[in-house]
Amino acid sequence: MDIVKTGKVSIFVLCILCFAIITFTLYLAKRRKEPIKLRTIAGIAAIEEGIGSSLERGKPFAVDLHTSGVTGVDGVVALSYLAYSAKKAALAGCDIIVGMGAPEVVPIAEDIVRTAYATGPKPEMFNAARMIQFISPVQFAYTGGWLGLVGREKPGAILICGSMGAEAMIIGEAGMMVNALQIASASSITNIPFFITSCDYVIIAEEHYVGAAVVSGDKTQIGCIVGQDAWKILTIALIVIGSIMTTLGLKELTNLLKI
Amino acid sequence: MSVTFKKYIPLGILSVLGFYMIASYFLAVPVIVDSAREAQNFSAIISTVALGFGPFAILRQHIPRSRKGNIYSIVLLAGLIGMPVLYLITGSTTSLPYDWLYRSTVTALDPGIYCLVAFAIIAGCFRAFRIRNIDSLLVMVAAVVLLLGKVPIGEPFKPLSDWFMAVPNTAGYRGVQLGVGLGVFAYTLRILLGTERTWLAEVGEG
Repeated sequence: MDIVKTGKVSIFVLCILCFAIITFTLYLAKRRKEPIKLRTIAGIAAIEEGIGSSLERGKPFAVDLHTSGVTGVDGVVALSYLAYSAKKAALAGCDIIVGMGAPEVVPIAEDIVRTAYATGPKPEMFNAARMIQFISPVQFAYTGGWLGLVGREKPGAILICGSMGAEAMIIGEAGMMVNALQIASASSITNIPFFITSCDYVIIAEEHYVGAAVVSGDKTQIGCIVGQDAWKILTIALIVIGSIMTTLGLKELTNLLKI
Repeated sequence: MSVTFKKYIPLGILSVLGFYMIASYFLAVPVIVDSAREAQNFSAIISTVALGFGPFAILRQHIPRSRKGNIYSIVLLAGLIGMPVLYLITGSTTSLPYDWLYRSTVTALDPGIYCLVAFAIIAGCFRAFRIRNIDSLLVMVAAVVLLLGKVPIGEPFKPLSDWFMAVPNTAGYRGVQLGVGLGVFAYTLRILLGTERTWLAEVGEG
């Protein structure tokens, strides 16, 4: 009897290899005294700028978590961005409004924002009923609700970090109409073009996940990105070698990956 | 409740179950596969129980108070309470009043909001296709070729339009997908190893 399922052996081996490389770089980063320096992601830096701008204009900072739940990676990444934004907003004494459509996210988001304000200089600013806005888990019902919320509250800056579909363009335009500084973080190829046209800063694709490590400020997590890059170089090398071998009519690598 | 119970034990359970589910995807050991399926059933049960708390959370948030948008809260509460009451009175979800109310509100509003995409896209196109530099010129040319390739009048542009979609677009798409795949893998690994805790409000200076 096979221990590994047929057709998944090669993927299993590659996953183990990737796991080993990333874990090793995590270990190296932990031992390292100096933190690894990464290039600045403009979108991440713009979150503070957005909070500052909102504060100057006396408007709230809005975060759109969209209908992403915690069962998907994007929803969890969105919570990382929320934690960072809430902390920065609480430190600056800026009002924050969080829109969400997944019921299970409501208590988590509330806890994140409450913790941020409780550790900030103005804990009395926290107001769950106003700051935590559950809209709807239904795609276009959420969109309508978000349009209303942006129209009423007129935030000074908006961070869009949930995963969405066709409504991405409407969500982006809503912020444009109230002259808000907009930062979007998207991993979906179908959302990125829409956000590029309507937002001031876009955290694109891989940056979406890397950003979550960057906002943590934890050198161990940043070390993980080095492992991720090393694995990416190996993957690209595999693609190039595979392309050359297939062009030459050699099927060994293709057959090996089918095991 | 101590931090151990509130944070570390749930994180430990998450980590063990996460690696277990990954193992069930690869391994052909019946015990692991069957128990992983059972664990997924538990996930559905927990979600259903959590759903029961939803209406209470909504009531708490939308019970009218002096703030902007109270009227919308009233409409929401009317729907939240009115629809189950109507169901209890009529005893069926296919009854005329229940069906009429659903069709004339939810079914009508959903495509109504969707239609706004057209206006938003026009506004977006206006900004995206404004020629300011060589990059935006290239975007503009590619967009015009693609649009022409999709309509009967632009038949001569179809091969070039198809090439744009099959070669540069696919290359970019695969590049992004590769990065996203690796990003998801590394992020998941960070969560399972317990190093990624920003989603639990543990944020550094960034």
